[in-house]
Parts: sequence; structure tokens; C-alpha cells
Amino acid sequence: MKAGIYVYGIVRTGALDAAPAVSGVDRDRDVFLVEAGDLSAIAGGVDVSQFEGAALEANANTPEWLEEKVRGHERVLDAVVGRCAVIPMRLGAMFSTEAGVRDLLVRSAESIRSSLARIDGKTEWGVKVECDLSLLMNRLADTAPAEVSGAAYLRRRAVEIRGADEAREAANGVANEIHARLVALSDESALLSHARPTSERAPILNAAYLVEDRRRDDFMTAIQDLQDMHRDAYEFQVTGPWPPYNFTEIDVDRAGT
Amino acid sequence: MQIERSSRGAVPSSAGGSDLADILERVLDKGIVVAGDIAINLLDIELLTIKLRLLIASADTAKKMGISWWENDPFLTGESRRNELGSSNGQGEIEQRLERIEEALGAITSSSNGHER
Repeated sequence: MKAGIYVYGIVRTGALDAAPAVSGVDRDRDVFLVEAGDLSAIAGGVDVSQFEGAALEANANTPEWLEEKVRGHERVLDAVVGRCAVIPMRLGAMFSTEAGVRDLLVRSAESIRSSLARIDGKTEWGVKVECDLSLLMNRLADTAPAEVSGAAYLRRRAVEIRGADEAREAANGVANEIHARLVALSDESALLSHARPTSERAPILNAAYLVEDRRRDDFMTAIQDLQDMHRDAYEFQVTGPWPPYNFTEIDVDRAGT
Repeated sequence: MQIERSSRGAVPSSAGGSDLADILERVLDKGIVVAGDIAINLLDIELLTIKLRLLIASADTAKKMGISWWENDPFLTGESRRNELGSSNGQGEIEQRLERIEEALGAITSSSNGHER
């Protein structure tokens, strides 16, 4: 057992009247606030030894352990999102002492403050769109006349292959259209990497948007509109509200004074 | 349209809540990275991150067969691809894997049969 302090995120001092009453990465340890002037870290006790050496080797090969840590990290931040501006830490930020946490807050105060200002009154939403490319492709192929000769078969095959390109092109066009519309309704956006395509569906858009809370309804209505417009072959998935992971990156190493 | 995480608040700790992959997409790559008086070896954090990525990749593989849609499409690759996929894998999994692949191929082939000849 090696006691440490796990940091979940950073808020303005006073923005929360108390630390969120949920458990974090270690279920039996409290979550508390570590204050340094106008900034406070949402922190919690943690047994660092489970993240080290042989113990880590064993734990990291246990999916349940990994999932518990990830969900614990997110659970604390989820309890804060919507209550006040919070800058999320990357998974696994552990300090030896509270003084170390305060040092982080003081050293990086400038960039943390401007990061908080950037996300004030805004929320991150995730939007994923998948396309049924085979459906689009079949539709294109259906319009070609049926023929039986060998040459006709080859021609037909060429049309089909071209059809795949056309389907992808059409899907890309739709992705661009969706993204442009959502960008117009958000303050910032970030394109995330695509998930792997499945046999059924190809991901055509995976993005995060930082949306002003007063524009949230417009944003959701636009997504509903877009979904209605492209109901046939496209499927939308909206996730959120997220801590603004994609809009608060600060490299603490280089930040600060 | 579906909003996966209910509007803010308590995300259930286990089965419910957001997709683990959605969370990982964020907590592994984004957010503040710390330096300074940290209690943990950065290499250990790296190992943790790698293991989490593997976890997601293997969940993905189980769910999505680990083969991209285009590779798997008989339209674009011809049927010979089927043999290749079958023999390129380890002995232990091969049966399960073939079963999954054939199932998916079957679904795709039957939906595109009309155009094959």
C-alpha cells in the first residue's frame, strides 16, 4: 500500500460547495477538493501500488480492473459536468502529496484559468455517424441494366466497383455537410479518429463539439433534422454531456511560469 | 437519434452508462497531462494505457471480427478472400473465427447476390 492522491479535474475555487459524493478509482476512498488560491483540484485518495510494477502487470491484464479504474475516473467528472466548468485530467494523474497537487495548480495557473474561460457555459457533445455503404452501393447498381454476356458481366462488374467509390464519395459528402452544419452551431469542434468499420456500417464522422449551453437545443434540433434528411442509410449517435476533454488540452510541462 | 449518456449526472458503474470505448477515446488521449511531483512512473501509466487500448481492440475484434468492411466484401475482393482469411489465423480460434466470417459473408453475399451475374 502506497498512499497517493489521484487528480480527476480542476475547477474554480468555490464553484463546487463540496466535492462530488461519488467514489472514484478506488471505491473505498473519499473524493475531496485541494485548494490553491482561485483554483481547486478534484482529487481523491488512491493506492498507488496497484499502478506499479508487478501489481500493475497483473491488474492491467484484468479487464474488470481496467474498466473499474476508467469508470471511476469518469464517474467523478460526470458528477461535476453541468454544475460548473471543469478541466478533466487524463487518466492516471497521481501525486505523492497534496502539496504536489497545489504546486501543479500554482505553476499552471495561467493556462488553467484561460482554459476554464474557454469552456465556461459550454458543453462537449460527441457525434458519430455511420453509413450503410452496401445499401448505397446496391442502390447505384440497381440502376444499371441487367445483361448476360461475358463482356456485359465485366462491364457490370466495373459499374459495381465504381459504385463502391461513388457510395463512399456520397457518404463523404454527407459527412462534410453534417459537420459544417454542426460547426456553425458550436464554438469549437474536433475531429476524432474513426472506429473500425463493421461488416454492416462504415463510420463516416466521429467528432466532438463544444456547444454553448444556450445553443444546445438548436444543436440537437439540427442533428434531428440531419437524421431525418438522411434517414435511409445513415445512423447518428450523440453522446454527452462530456467533460470538455477535447477542448482543454494543456501541456503542464510547458505551461506555467 | 439517440443520446447515449442521459443528460448529466450519475452514470451507472457497470453495464449501463456510456460505452467504455467512448470514454477511453477521451480519457486516454485528452485532458491534462501532469508533470512534477507525480507519484507514479510514467512508464507504468504508459503500460496502463496500452493495456486499455488492447482491451478495447479485443472487444472490437470480437464484435466486429477485426476485418475491415472493405476487405470483407466479396464484391471487391472476390470469393478467394474467404480462404485467405480462414488460413491466416491461429489454430485455436480458427473455427469460431471462420464461423463469424462466413456468417457475415453470407449476409453480404445474399444481399448482393442479385448483382453477381
